[in-house]
Amino acid sequence: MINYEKGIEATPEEVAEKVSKDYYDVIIVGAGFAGSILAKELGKGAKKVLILEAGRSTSIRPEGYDSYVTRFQEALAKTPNSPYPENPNAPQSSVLFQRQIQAGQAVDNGYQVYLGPQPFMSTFTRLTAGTSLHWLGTSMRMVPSDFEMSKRFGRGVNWPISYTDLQPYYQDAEYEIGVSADVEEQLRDIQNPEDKGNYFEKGYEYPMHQIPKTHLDKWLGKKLEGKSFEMEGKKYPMQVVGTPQSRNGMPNPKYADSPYNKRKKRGHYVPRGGVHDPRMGQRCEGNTACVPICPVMAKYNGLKSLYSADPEKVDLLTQAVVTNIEIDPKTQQVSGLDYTVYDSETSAAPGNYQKFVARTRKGGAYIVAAHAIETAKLLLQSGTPATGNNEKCGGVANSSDMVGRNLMDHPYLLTWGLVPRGTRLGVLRGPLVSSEVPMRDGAFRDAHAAFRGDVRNGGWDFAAGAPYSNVLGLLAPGDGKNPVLGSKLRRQLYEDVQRQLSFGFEIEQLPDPANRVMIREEYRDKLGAYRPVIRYDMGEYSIRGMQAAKRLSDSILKEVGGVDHTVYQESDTGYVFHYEDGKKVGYTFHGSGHIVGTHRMGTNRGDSVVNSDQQTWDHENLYLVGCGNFPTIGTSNPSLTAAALAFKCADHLIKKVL
Amino acid sequence: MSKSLPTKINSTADLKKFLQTALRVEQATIPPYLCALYSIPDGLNREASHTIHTVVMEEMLHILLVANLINAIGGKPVVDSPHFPIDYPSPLPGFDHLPKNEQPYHVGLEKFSPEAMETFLRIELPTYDDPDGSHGPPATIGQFYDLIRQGFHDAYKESKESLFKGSRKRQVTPEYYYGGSGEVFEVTNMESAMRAIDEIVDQGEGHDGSVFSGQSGSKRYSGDEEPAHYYRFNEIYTGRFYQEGDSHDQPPSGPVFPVRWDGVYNMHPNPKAEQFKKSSPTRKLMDECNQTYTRLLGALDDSFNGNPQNLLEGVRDMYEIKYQAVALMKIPRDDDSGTTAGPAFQYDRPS
Repeated sequence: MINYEKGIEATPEEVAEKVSKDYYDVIIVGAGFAGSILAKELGKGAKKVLILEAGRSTSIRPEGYDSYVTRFQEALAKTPNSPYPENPNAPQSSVLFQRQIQAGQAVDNGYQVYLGPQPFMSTFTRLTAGTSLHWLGTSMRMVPSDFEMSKRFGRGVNWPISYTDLQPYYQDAEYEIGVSADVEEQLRDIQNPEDKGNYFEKGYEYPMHQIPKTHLDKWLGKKLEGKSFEMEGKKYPMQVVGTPQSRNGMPNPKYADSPYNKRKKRGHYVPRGGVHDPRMGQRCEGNTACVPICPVMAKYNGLKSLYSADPEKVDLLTQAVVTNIEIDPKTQQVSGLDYTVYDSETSAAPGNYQKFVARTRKGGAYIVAAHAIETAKLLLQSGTPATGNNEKCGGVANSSDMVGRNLMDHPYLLTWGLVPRGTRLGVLRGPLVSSEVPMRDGAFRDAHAAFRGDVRNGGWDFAAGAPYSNVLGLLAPGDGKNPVLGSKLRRQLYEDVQRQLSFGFEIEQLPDPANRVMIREEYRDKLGAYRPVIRYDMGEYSIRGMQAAKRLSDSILKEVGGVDHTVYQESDTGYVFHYEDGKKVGYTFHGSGHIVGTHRMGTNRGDSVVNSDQQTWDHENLYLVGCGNFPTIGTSNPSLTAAALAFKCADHLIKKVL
Repeated sequence: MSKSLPTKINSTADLKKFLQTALRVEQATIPPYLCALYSIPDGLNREASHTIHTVVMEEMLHILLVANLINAIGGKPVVDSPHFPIDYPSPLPGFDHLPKNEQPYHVGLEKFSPEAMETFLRIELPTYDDPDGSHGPPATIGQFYDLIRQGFHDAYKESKESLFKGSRKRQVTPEYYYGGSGEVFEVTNMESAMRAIDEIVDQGEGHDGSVFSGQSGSKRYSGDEEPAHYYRFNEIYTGRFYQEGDSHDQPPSGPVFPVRWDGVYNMHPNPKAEQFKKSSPTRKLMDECNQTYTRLLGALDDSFNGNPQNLLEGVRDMYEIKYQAVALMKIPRDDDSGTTAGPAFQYDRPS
């Protein structure tokens, strides 16, 4: 397994030497979630792999990873990217740069440029291990109906593959990233009996038992027992279901005997701890720093796959920014990747750059797995960049004009209320989220978005800055009132915070070609590469989903005798509205970081970028892997599905191509 | 517990007594290790922290294996009792018969310091097979486990498989132990019983006189190849790593092992709750920490007596003890010594 003495890191000179000898079978752009898994799997299949990663390699070394943890602990604003220093050569976005967009005025003070009409609230990470260094770790599968939105509900599009096609790869992904969950609970919200029967292979178990439910989860589960919620004339049970998590829990002894594990000839599942100290992180310790960075690596990140990749087969070159995909005009195949290596980690001083071209051996394959936004951007800026007169169909792999389009996220709707005085919910204990109230599947999806409501263990943390805002409110109540001090302050603070109930709803969004990533001549980064320019809006389907989600939150609060305190204001960043019975009603959404759809897969080269093998329609030896391939988003956090797609692609390449 | 152990195990009842003492021995080493470990502030003395942490985890594994041994032969492990923990400083249980000047196992609660390392080195000192050795009561932990091993053989000769009559439901299974290098396993027969004893003895003390348990030290920290505890403590004590080719009877000759003896909380040795004024805030914390410790012993007792799943409850208290111990180590004592309070690890169950 790992040893970083003899790791997979390579120097530009070593790589250039190997390229000159036609050494590599596969070159992958991006050492993130998908790229790490692809490299490991292809290496296992005896393929020689090069990964070009734009970001730094800091996280690979123990002291580097720890420096991120320290930086996060010291950060005043604990945003998803707060552990990761600015890197002008491979810049990334920050949630701190988002604000409400005035018509016609682009917000361009960060890395991403927002054209509106709505701000795009999600970010990603450009580092070795990619956005797996800031994800929450939520890992549920998509539901079968998500793959057939058009067929079943007349909305969106169908995937070119079915749930059943992906099912075996979900098992691979759940092993690789280590998922703790309960099979029975995952079936509860699937409506169609046939879907339910085929959701898991018979005898399947998750590698680890579900992360224990918090006091709040159990309390709410009890209160909602037997209660239901009506949508579009049909009743659905209100239930509290454990959220699958890539966070180490108790290994499930039954996993060893599941048919999947037996086929793989593996024994008991042993949770994989930290890559730098395998004894750490074999169980979640409840540090609650899951987003962005687990100090003990009990949460999966791409380093775990990179460290277990075969160092004889896999080379990783970091600080290597791919700027162009070269296409041979005769064969229409990729002939190489132009990349720039920067030698300084922090400065962008000119003269520190070296330019190279990476090529595979003849008959090799190129995979871009650089994240939904960066992959789309790289395709758009390659060849004849898709700007100005070439905006339509410019770039590479873009004959469909679908590259960058159909950008989706889960708009995240917060609701919050107070339960009766004297109730102690156990707020601020355990991981940020351990359970949810799902409304993921059902006939209502022809009318509005499906959604799932995170039961937030942090009370009004996200919703209202609790508990700090409560401290302030008690110390400086205003209106000439006296501050609450001393032991009374402590008592009051505890009582107040323990009554805070808050939900965060991930709302489904439909593919809309007008929601897109673009490039513009005037927006470049310090390396001269284009910056992503984003146009994003919220459709009525999602806003109606928000309406239903808010109604569900109200119903739950009613069941538990609580009072709603949710306020959405027109001045909020992310405020959207529609009309309900002729009355204007607004909702405020946040980003979920679930960025998908920008190079979708399909059955038709006219309206999709890749086929069901994740091969581009336009260039035979070019594959795209990652969340950008999703034709629709459903209600699942996308990383597990992206990992499954990576397994599927590796399988295809090993068996059919290389 | 009897002051002095017999020289030979004559019955299954004796064997159970020895194993109960083994349980106390393994447990009694943990508080001294924890005091050294928790006196190191986050981020300092990382290598040393890592070493002590590893050893603590292995001692915990030993406790579980001893509990499985007791349960395998139908015994009842006792942990939740005022007589279970020792009163620091004190010889380890079962070794109090040794005269003071020959006492290898006098242990106390101390901050991370050369003195603490000397104690740890004594506990972990490798002992080698000594077939012609005396037949008195055990003088080393190695001899102590040799007697237990012999006791199993004798009892097995007499009772055969019926020796292992304990209910399997009382065994602690692998999913409950993590964070160390070994694995808990069920003890159900002679083979697994011997394996458990080997695991306990081997991990603690170099078994064949070599520094490394495998061929090379190049893969250390990857989880497999690490020197036995004694040598790891000697690295801290001498400030140097062992390297390949080093002999077990010579000091290490490798690169400098970074140690800062001053980078620690200055805990006064062997703190007791009674040393602090009743109703003082420090006393309150001392009491709370002792009560957490006692609750943990209760959870262990419960999980060794038919409810293994209650180990999970114990984990919560293990973290709680850490927070409380570190908090105490930051409180200056009310004298001019410049030292701080610290965890006392006293049995305290409020009525």
